[in-house]
Amino acid sequence: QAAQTQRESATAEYSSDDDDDDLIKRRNLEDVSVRDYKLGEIDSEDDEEIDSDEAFNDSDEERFRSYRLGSGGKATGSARSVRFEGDDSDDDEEHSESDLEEMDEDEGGAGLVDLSEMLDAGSSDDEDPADGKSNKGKGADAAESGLNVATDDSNDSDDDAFHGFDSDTSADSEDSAAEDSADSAIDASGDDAEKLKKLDGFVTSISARAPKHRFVSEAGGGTVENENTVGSGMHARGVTLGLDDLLGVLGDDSAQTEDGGEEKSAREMRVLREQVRAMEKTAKRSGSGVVSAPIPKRLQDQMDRKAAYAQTKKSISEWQAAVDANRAAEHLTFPMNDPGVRQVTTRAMVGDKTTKTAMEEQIQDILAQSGMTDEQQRQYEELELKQLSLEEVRTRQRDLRMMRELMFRSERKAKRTAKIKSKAYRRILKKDKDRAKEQALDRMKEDDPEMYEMVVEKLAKDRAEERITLRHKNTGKWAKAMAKRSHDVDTQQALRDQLSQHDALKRKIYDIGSDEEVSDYEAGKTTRAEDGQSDSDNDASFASIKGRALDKLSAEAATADDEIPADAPHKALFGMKFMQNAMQRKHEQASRDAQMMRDEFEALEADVDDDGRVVSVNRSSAQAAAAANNTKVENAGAPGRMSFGGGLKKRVQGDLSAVDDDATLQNHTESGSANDQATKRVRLNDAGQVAQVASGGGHRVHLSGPLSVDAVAKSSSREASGMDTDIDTARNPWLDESATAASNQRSANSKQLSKESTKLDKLSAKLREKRHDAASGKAESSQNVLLDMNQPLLLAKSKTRDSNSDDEQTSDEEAIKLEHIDAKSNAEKKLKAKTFSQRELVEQAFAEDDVVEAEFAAEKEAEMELDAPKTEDLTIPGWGSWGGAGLQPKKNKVIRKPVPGSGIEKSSRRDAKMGSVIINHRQLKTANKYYASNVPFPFTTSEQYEATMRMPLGKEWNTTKSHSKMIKPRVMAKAGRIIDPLSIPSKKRQ
Amino acid sequence: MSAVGKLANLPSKDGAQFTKGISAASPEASGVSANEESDSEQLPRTLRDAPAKSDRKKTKKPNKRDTQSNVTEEEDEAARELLQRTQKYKRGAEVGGKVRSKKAQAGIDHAQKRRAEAAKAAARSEMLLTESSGYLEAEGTERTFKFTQRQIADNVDIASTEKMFNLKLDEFGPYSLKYSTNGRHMLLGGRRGHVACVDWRNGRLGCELHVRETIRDVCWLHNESLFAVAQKRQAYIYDHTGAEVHCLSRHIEPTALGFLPHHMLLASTGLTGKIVYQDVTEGRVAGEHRAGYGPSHVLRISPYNAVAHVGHGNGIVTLWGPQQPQALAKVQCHRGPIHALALDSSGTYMATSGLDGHVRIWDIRRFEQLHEYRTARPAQALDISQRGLLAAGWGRSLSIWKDALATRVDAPYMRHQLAADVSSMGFVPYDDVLGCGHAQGVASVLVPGAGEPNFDALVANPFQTPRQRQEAEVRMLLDKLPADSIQLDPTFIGRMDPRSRAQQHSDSLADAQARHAASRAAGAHLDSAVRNKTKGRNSTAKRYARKRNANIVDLKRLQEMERLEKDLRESTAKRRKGPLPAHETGALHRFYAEKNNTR
Repeated sequence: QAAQTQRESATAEYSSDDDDDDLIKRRNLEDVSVRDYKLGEIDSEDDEEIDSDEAFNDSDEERFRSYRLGSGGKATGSARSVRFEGDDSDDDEEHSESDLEEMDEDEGGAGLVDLSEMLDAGSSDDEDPADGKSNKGKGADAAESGLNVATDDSNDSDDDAFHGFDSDTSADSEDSAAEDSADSAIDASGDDAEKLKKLDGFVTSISARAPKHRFVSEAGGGTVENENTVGSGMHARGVTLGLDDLLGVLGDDSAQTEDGGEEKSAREMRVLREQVRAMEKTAKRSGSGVVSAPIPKRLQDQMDRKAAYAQTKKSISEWQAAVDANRAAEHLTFPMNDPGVRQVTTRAMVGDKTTKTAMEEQIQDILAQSGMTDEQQRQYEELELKQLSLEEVRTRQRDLRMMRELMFRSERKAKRTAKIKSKAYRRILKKDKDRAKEQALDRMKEDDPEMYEMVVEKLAKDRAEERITLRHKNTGKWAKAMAKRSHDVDTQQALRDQLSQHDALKRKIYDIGSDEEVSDYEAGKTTRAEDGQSDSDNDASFASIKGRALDKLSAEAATADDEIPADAPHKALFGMKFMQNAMQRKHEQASRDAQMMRDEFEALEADVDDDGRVVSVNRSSAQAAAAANNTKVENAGAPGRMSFGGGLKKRVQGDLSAVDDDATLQNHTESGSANDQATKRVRLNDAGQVAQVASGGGHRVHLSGPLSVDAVAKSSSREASGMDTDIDTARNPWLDESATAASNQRSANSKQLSKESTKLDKLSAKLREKRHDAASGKAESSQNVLLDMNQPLLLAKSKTRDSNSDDEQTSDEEAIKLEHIDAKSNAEKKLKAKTFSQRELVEQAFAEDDVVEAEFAAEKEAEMELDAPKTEDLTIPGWGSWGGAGLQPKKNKVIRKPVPGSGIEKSSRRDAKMGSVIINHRQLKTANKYYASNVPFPFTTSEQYEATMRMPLGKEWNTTKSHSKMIKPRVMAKAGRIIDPLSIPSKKRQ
Repeated sequence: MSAVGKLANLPSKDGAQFTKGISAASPEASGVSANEESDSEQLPRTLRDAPAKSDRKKTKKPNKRDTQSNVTEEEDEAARELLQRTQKYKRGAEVGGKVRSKKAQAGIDHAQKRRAEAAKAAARSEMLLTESSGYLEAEGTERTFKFTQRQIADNVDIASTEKMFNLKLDEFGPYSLKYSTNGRHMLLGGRRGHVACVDWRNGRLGCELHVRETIRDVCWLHNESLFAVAQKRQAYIYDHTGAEVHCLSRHIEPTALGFLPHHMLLASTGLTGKIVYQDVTEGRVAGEHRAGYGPSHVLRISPYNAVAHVGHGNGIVTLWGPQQPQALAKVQCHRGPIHALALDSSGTYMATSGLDGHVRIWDIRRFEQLHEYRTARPAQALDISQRGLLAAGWGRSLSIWKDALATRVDAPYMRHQLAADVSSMGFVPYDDVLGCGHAQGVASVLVPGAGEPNFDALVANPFQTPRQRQEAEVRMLLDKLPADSIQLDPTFIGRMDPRSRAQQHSDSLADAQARHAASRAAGAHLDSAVRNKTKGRNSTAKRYARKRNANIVDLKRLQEMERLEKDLRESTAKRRKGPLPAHETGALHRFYAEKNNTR
């Protein structure tokens, strides 16, 4: 009947509109097994989706907890049936159903009954039938628990399609397991065949007694109760089967066994009973009498996870601070908090006197025993000192000090010499060493001939060895063969190569490299260049020649001076004025030449001193200068061609020289005046003569830049000031060599005026100038007058444009104020007024010239118009109006207003208030790409953003340190270093 | 000559050095007296004086306080000074305000901190600039402008005296001259065709050639290996051996040349009144603009923002960038033609001289005239040195002013007379020398305090080796800036777009349209047009049916036609029978049919 209902309910799946099925279902709700079945039922579409453990979830667990013990077996049984039901074909289902029944009868049923029956058999006849029933229930329970495990196992299987079969087989195996246990129990109770036979008989009798329709009776509800169907029946009555029931049965044991004298089995029984009691006791101690079933693994895991989550949440909050700090950090360097290599200084190591290891202690002990500790040593030394006399102590101390000092010096010296990189020095050193060696050998030859022999022999041996091992000389077989055909160019080349290779190898082997084997020629050069001393023969000869030449020159100058005494009376022709003058000139010329010669030489010396490198150049230039002594420099080179080097220098000197007031010096050649200059400079360099030469007034000149050397002649200004008055007066400051004689004269005059002449002189000079100006009448000369006035330029006030008399007056006054202190004469004032009137003329020339400005204003206006926002008149004339005579023009114009922000209002232009300035407001379209269209992410305002953009990052604008800081990446990890996980700061501190 | 008058703009550092170096020789020099006070009172003061002033205070105070407080005071002073110097390196104030993300805020804070540290470090590193600028110092009633070159030569070292020289070249003058960026090489161009480049310190002639036509200007390119010459018809480029490398035919009748070192552009203006930019690396013309004011003779490139300043015959100075077709700005500077123009390296000052005899100083950030000087004759040449000395030349005279840009000074710093009328002038970078080209050659004049004493070898190295020059050349090419990055404000790159959002959008739209139109015009659509291909449109049968050659009748076509005809017939027959039952017409009718069959 149950099978029937099940089948019907199964078909109900497909024809849900069938009312009858519904009814049946409703009726069957009361039935436990059917309800279980319903619970376990899975929709066809969900069948594949839901795992068996999901199918029975938490809520179900709570709801049907009470069924677990009592009706669990049936539930699983029905679950099994459900799984079979999942199969589509009815035949299969039927088959499986029948299988199940058979199984129940044959195996499961047998197992169940077997135990209970056996126990029954063990119990007395007057046993309460309920007991037997409860026993049976218990057996079912055990089977059920076994099945539970089986289903749990089957959950793990992945293949859903064979799910049912899997569980089936596992159930089968479980059943067989139950059977086995029963068998073993039987084995335990007695091994004899008789018993087995009995048991068989008993089993068969049960199977005979057991009705085939057990399921039917169960499903039917009110059915006949017997021992076999006790479980459900008891359950229905609310009676639960406990351990007590079983124990009760075991209470009176072997005495009542059917075959008396079965002592062994009785013993076994007793043991079993005791075990059960022990179990009971533990159960009672734990609280409930019933051992609770373990929570399913899934739930257990869930709970574990929850607990773990709570725990982790708590512990992880400790990290928050560290994480925040790292997030806000400017840079992160991994490995983090790297302590780095600790530098242990020797001081720290020595200072630590405590002994740590056993060995150290041992050593310390030994030292102490032998009196070698520091303390003991000190004491000993003190004692020693006490024994000595004061003098002795002093001498000892002195000796010690001396020794220390010498050691220190030698150390210093060694350090210094080790640093010297000079090849020459090394070479000399090496030569010294060799010489010393030779000397030592010589000495040895005299002192210890035997030893000398030995040494020489050893040297020879070494040499021979060297020769043997080196096969790169031309003595080899190959080389000889090659030498035979040396006429061949290639062969020669090959030989040369071989030789050079040999050299190279030798160098390599003996490490005689670039340092020592420098050619003598090079060595000579380097010495000169490095030491800067003219100790070579060349220089020495040069110096000597120069010295001789100088001597000769001076001698000749002396004789010349002697020849013509200044005021000696002369006879006849020589007494005449013109002859005297001529002689004077000649003499002067000669002395000048001599002086120049001397200067040249000395200039050479100066140049050598300055810069050794330029020696040759200067020498040649000097020679050139000497050659071109009497000729004008302009004629020296081709016209229009520049000549650099010596020529340039000459001109420089010429430029610097001033033209003397003296008439004879007026038409002086450049080179002549250059001599003065040169003399001065040479003397500047000469240490003994500095005081005579410095010429500057009270002013100082200092040049900026790294290119300037410290001024030589800056010192001794006071001394110089006395000397220089004549120089200052003698020289015209404004002119160079190419200035005309006339202007020379004039400016010289003005210069003189400023320095020393009286007021009257000045006045007359001014008048002279004025006359001169008037005579020449040239514009340029008038300009020159302006230029040469010893006063600053007179400047108009900035904003006054109008050139009226007031302005003139003020500027005049300014001029007076700025006038040189001792040049306030009326004449000059007049002169000034005159010159300013000229300037006024210029101004007047431009005074009425408003044309340009008007044009510019118009242009600006046009530009403004162009840029201004434009309204557009869209009215089409004639459209939408009548034509004809006497018509008024249309009033409603169609005007398109400018788009806001399209143009620039005249008032908002940058140049709106600037007078004569037009600033272009049209933006360059291609430059639009350089703008940021909106504020980039972290910034909220454009000001913030632009403030960040202002600071340049480049190394051109920053110090190296700040530049590298600015471009440092946020995260840096050292290559190859292990990055440890972050540690909690609190733990870090510990 | 009893008292020492120091020039006002000496920083305290220099003052200290001065007393250390020179006062040993002359005791009066170290005597800081009331005289100095009064002297410095009457002389104009600049911002740079502040430390000097405080120095003086410092020396006075210790008399009153004890030493302990003195030490702390000095420390305070040093700290204050450092702070002051740090301000220079802080580029604008920091902006407050927080961002929402903590992490981002941390980043911003770090960046802010880094900036502050960098500024401080830069201020500290100033002490590595050991060289101090030069100066002239007058005693008593002396005036520095009265010192002659002769006197100066007597007081400086020999190496410096060798920097004073005259080149007498009276055949092909007047000469225009330029110095290379490191100041080592001088380029001369004689009006009558003579070109020479000289390593002027060593007196070594690089090359010399005669081009046999008028030369109006010369200009070094990126280094001393190439130079451009503005000749009669067009500009030419020569290399350091004097060989002609290029003829720049787009620069027609050029009168003035300028080179933009960071953009590698050669700019010229000429008798046509055009401003032409040529990229010297690629050879293409980067820009060609018509100023519209007739021939112009003056062109200078601003070292600050690389804008070309062109002076015109009507007194207008126009500012140009290579890409913008209109002038960036126009300023009416003078009433007469512009004769000369000079720009300072900070991009603040411009000096112009016009035929009206004025030299005007302008603040080119605000386009405002600061003050004006009058010269005896219109200044023919102007230049501003690295340390802000203004030199003007007219006729045969030179006049050099110190501190004449920021303030208005009354007296020149130095004066000098040339052999002939001046034609061009240039201060030597990193040296105290002013070179003047005149009608009869070239003169080199010593001007103490003109050059920047501390050079940055990464910018310009006066002691550059050939290897370094090569490397610098490569670096220049790598660091070359695009031509469109030239604007009046060179810091605009990376700034927020000044246009409104809507404007940006419409602009980009217009751009895209223009690009599209351009590409269409170029025929790009023929290649890359996306075909609208739908599925099933291209089946074989359809393709066959679509075939144009409908008049060709072959077997296949006949078969097809037959099939179509048959279909038509069947359908009409069916229609004649009447509507079919639902199960025969529906989508599933064939299943019905099968069912029926199986049945």
